[in-house]
Amino acid sequence: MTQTLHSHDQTLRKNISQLLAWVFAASIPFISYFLLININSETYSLNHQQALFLSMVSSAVVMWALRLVPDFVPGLSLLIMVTLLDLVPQSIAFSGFVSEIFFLVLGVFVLAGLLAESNWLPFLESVAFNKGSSLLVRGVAIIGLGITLTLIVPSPLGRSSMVYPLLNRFLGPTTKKTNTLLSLIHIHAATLFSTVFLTGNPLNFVLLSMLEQQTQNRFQWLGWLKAGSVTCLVLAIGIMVFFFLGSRLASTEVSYESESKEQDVNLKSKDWGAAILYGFMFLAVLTRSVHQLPLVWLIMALALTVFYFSGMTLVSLRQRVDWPTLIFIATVVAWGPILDFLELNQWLAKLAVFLVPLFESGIALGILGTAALIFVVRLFIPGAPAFLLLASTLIPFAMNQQGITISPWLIGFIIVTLSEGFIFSYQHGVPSQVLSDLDSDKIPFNLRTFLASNLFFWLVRLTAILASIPLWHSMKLV
Amino acid sequence: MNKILIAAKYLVIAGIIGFAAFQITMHKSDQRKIMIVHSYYNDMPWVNEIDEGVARALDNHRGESSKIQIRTHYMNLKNHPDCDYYSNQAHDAYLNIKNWQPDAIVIFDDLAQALVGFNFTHFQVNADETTRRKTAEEMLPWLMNSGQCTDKKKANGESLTLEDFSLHVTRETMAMGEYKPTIIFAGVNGTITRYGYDHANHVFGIFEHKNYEAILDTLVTLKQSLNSEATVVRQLNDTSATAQVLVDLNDNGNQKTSVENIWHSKGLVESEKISANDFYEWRDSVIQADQNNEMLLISNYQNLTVDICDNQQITMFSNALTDSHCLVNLNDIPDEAPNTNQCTRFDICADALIQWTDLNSTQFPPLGTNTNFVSDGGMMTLVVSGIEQGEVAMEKALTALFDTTQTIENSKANRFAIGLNQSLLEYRNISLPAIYPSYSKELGRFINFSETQYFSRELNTNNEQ
Repeated sequence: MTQTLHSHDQTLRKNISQLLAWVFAASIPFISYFLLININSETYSLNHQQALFLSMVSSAVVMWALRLVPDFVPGLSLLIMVTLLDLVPQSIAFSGFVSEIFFLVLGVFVLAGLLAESNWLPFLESVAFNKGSSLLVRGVAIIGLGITLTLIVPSPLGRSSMVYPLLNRFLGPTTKKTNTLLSLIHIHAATLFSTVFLTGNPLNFVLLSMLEQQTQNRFQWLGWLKAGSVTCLVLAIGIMVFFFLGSRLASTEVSYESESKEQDVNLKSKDWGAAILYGFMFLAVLTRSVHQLPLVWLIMALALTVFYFSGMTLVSLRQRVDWPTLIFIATVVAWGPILDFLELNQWLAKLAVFLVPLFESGIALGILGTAALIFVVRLFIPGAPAFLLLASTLIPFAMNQQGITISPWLIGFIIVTLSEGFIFSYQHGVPSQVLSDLDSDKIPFNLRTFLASNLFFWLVRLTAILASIPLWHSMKLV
Repeated sequence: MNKILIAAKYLVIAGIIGFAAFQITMHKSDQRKIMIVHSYYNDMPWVNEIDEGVARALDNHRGESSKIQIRTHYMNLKNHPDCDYYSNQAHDAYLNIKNWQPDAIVIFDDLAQALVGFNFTHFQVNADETTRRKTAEEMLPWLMNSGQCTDKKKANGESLTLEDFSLHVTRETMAMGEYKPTIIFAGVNGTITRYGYDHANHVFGIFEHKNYEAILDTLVTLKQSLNSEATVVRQLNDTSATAQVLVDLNDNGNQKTSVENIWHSKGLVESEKISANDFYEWRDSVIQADQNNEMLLISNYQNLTVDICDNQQITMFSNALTDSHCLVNLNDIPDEAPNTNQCTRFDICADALIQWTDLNSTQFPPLGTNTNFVSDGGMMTLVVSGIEQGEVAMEKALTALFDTTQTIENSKANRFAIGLNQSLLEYRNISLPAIYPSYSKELGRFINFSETQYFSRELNTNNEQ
């Protein structure tokens, strides 16, 4: 009886908070329109169209922040509204759906889907598992797999769910410390490197789409990695140090028995086909200066080859491609052109003037100020929308603000790298997914260690960025 | 048997894909690549005009459009006038060109010629590395002045090096080997010797020189309408890069003679040009010119500053700064005080300056030769057409790539846009020939601007190659 009452209470509370959230999302555009249209300052005053657009954005931000609907819904609704209210021509509002970025992400998603379909992961899993009696091998296997998948699977959540089966087999019901350590390693290996490889995160593609053509050309796959190399190195050192320190604590636990060996997984011709396609992809990336073809069409061609050779069925295409994320990306890629059309990018850039004195007194200080801003914004807003808002403000800022010499790509890279970081599990899809998986699998786990280590990794990210400044100086990006 | 059939099927599919790839490869290897490099960004009407001209040229060659690949690179130097940024952008453009290896590079405006064009210019055999280094070193002071360098090195009294501007001197650092793109310059106000283009045989283009004949004709027309006795023309500018190249050009021997002949034939005399260092000098020059009934010709005025040294006044002016951090209350600026260490430097708002200048030129209205002169509050301006610069430059690039039999010559700006402020004309009681107001009413994309053809007679002494 009490239990029923308790659950009834919970449902009631949930319904009330949902209602309040929706009332908030419904009223915020009116409030923000009223506030925006009445700005008197010469610098910040807005016309009707601009205020209307921003007020609709405010509603979308509330829906994103309170997770009222899937991410792509507010984005797409916004596009429909601006089209129907004739704020922006349809061709601009929906430009994301015809942009190269859309096809690039689609192509990479299809290739990643092929990989997920293949026997490669079970194969690697069995290899790692058969050799994985010691904690060291297990940890290295998880880190190695996390980094490798970051190269080819552009979605942190997708990577994490691909590695989770392996992790699950490494965990035991009595080894709480080891569980915590391996789960943490898993969560961070899947997310930490997602911004140093162009193909590691869909937001990287969004960032690319927000830049000028000339900057896009410089930061295709290899150029991106080159500029992110020091960051990558520091992050790798960070996760290894974390693992070795953690394993010292965990090794005091009872060592678990060697698990029974299991049958090796055999690779089929389809799996080799997937490997060959990936081989082609990296060959195309590495020889770009020779063939000079845009990466997007090469990747699309490879993705189509999958179907020409019956590598994937329609059913798995429907399952494996993250369509909501793809639509979300297409909706947000149009933000740049929309802001341009409404002449809002200058206005947004002016919002960031408080960063000017920081940047003028030193690039490190400027980056720290930006980092603090990102940290605060990320407490309230999920990763992708937070990145979008910050990048739409700071990229025009880097382009137009006199006295600021930071490359627009770099400011975007800093935003995407830091906004991928998280402290609490609600801030990111991967930790919240892994925590709920562990919970449902009834695997014991230490939450306090989880929070402390997240903070550690956030600082590792910041350190990695600060440590890259000399490289960026030599590359003339700052 | 089944296996063979399946293998055969995949072979056919592979054949289709292979053929498609072959066709793409053939098509791409046939294409010519053109990189367009702008010194500024497309937030400037001038850059948009150039881009429109480029589009026109491409439109004239629609038949070849599938054979051309174009990329545009905006260096955005107007928004970031500091040396670090110049250097970063020069490096960025260098990398972009090096990676893409375009067949032709079309470079607009002076800064990009120095920061990009020079690095890809192959000096001919008789010019060795020393010449190259000398050319680069001579560019340095010019770059620094135009950059209003806020560079830390400069603030510390150190001088900037070639490396600071990513200027490559030796063959090794040029890293180009045999890569030798056709370079087309446009929007060049001064000489091309500054960029070493005279040492190369793969550089062609169009100058953006002010057409003195057209300007003097307009002055004469204004004079007649005002019944003015004025005969002396004085050029007044700030000390920014483009203003300086104008000065350089007129000090160049041959050019000067031919220009003087034109002046003479119009019954006009040119008095010494003034490059005002600050608002005090500007103000004195305007008042002086008005007293002497001189005609002012103004090109560059956006970078003027004023040093205020009195504490009370510093506070007053600081409070009166506009959102773009410049001064508009020019009438409140006191007499020049002796420079002490406590002076604060303020920027002068361009529009306020031109309005002030027009108002204080009681006898003869100043004539502008700058795109923004009328929108900044001037009465009339005569500017070189950006459309022509873009169109002609692109035509030259296409000729160089597709019609190799034709020799390409450097050309001069022949088309002009006229800007008029009708109310200021009425205020001064000036009635111009119907052609002027009719053009100004025929509004183009910008307020009071339209494009017209002004066929100047060729200046036959131009020897620049």
